[in-house]
Amino acid sequence: MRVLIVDDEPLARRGLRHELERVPGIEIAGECANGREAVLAIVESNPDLVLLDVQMPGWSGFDVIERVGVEAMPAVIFVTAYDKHAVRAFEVHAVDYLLKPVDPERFRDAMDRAASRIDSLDPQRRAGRLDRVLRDAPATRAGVPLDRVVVREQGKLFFVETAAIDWVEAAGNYVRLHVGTRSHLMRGPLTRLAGRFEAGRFVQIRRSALVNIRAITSLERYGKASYAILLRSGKTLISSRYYGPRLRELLGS
Amino acid sequence: MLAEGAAPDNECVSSGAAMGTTGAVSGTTGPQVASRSHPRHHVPVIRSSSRGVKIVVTFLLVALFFATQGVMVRVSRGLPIDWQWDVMHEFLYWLIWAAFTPLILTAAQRWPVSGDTGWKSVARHLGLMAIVAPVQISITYLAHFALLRAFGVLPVELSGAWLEARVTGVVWGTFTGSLYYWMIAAVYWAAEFQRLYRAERLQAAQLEASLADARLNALRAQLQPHFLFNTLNAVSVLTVEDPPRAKQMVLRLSELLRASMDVGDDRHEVPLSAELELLQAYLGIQRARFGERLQIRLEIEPSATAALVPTLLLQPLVENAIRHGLEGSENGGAITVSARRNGDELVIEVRDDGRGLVTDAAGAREGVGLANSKERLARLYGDHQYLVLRTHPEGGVVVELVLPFHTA
Repeated sequence: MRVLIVDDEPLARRGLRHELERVPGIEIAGECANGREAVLAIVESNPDLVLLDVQMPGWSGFDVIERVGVEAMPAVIFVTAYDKHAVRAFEVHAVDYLLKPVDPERFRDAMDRAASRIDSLDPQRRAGRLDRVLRDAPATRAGVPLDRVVVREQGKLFFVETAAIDWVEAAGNYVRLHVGTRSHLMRGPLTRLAGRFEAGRFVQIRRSALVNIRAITSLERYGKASYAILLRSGKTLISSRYYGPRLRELLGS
Repeated sequence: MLAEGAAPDNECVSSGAAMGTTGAVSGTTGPQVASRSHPRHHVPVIRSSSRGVKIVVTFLLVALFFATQGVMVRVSRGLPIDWQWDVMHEFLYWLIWAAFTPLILTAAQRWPVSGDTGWKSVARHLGLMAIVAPVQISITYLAHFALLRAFGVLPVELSGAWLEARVTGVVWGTFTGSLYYWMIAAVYWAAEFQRLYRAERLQAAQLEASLADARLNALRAQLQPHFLFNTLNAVSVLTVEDPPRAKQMVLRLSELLRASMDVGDDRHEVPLSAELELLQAYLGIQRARFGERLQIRLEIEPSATAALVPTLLLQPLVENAIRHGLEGSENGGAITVSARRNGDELVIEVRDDGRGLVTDAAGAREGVGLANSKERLARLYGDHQYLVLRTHPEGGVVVELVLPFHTA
């Protein structure tokens, strides 16, 4: 099991490292001192488990998950010194956490649980839990809109710049991000992704499609209340009648 | 009516004892006596609507008591009941006292006999008493007379001789009436003392609760749980890696904890030099936690070190600066603490080189710590202090703190 350590305090990181070194079958995938590093490291090294400090300067642990996205996020054990709200959310949603100072016994229990869950727990369910924690847990998140999203494909993680996305299509439990001629699948509903983008950057044209406003090259009336939308990739999309007025309003302003 | 007309107005009270007594007879201030409150004693006697009823009922009971007494005495002697004197007169007498009572209560309220000017009040009351008592008994006899004439129910000759025979009664009644004047006033004072006592007990309880709250808040703000548990975590790691450093950290932490116990006690001031030692203990812990990321500069003028400051005053300000300074760049931050004497003021500045107030809403920035510091300073030094937060021209945020320069 490959484990990433995220904590802003060097001593705390060393402490977790000492504990990890005593657990057999653990490989330390890296150490990160802040949220920004953590997001990069998660994408680059795709660890199986992240020991994630909740309170860090800049991006908090919750920001990290938000940035990576609950679907792409590996298994997580939160680590916190003191945060009543977060701890309540962890308890309620059965997400593992450790309190500082870290109790070695609890640490090993949590690692055992993580190891068994990684094999058995459906990723969708794990994503659901994380999502609920994000919703309930605290206002310590920066809440800055996403400038890039993390996509997991064939076991690998990589970034997609939101500006590069032409449009997003809902496909069952997934969304398909269309970037030029390529496309990437992401778990989760379209509405969740829509909520993470900067307001006014994307516009919904159908119940199942979200278009990057900057990717639109031209717009033509198509029937009564619909539009034919030509994208920079050459693709043409048709808006539904319901979303037509909204589309016009947004483009006009 | 005389009872209303005799009420002294506010000028009488503030302009001396003589006015109080003469004003009592000559004043014609109108009927709003009961509802007007004195500028120095803002407590209204009782709300006037229920007050009138209470007074009348009380005096009717008193009259009933004395009437019964008279009747029983006569019955015990085997004499017939004297309806005129034992019953009618008693009720008249006490109801007329009831009519005078608002005046006496108002006087009792305005002229409290306790305190430094108590003797003046006593003089005023004696003056008012000397008027009220004879007037009260005279009115009683006049009313008695009028009532007998109006109804003529009882066998009595209404003549000059009858009135002449009442002179002794007026003299007698004036003296007993003087006593009743003081008794009515005394009832007011007793009720007032009880009310004050209750209010004071309530206030004391509230004060105690708020003081306890303040102490708890101070403690919480001074040493945040997040800091405490992260420090303990660091200590627990060091116990394995570097026991001497772990021990050092525990010592520093206990120093801080000990000082934080005195935080709620605002009389507890320490010289700036001691406060700086405490700050060093805190910074020692923070440096151990954050390593190279945290740079600290102290610029302390030697003349400032003897100044007294509230204990653990600097630590929350520095904690705030560290939090926001480090947040600015994930590579670390520098904190500068400076102190100097400026005439009769002590000027302390805590500066960070973080993002400044631009990206942080000032409201969010001014967290519990700062609000708490402000409150403590205000409690200690009143208006002779200030604490401001501003953006430094070279970046970052400065907390500037000014308080009166004083030494032990």
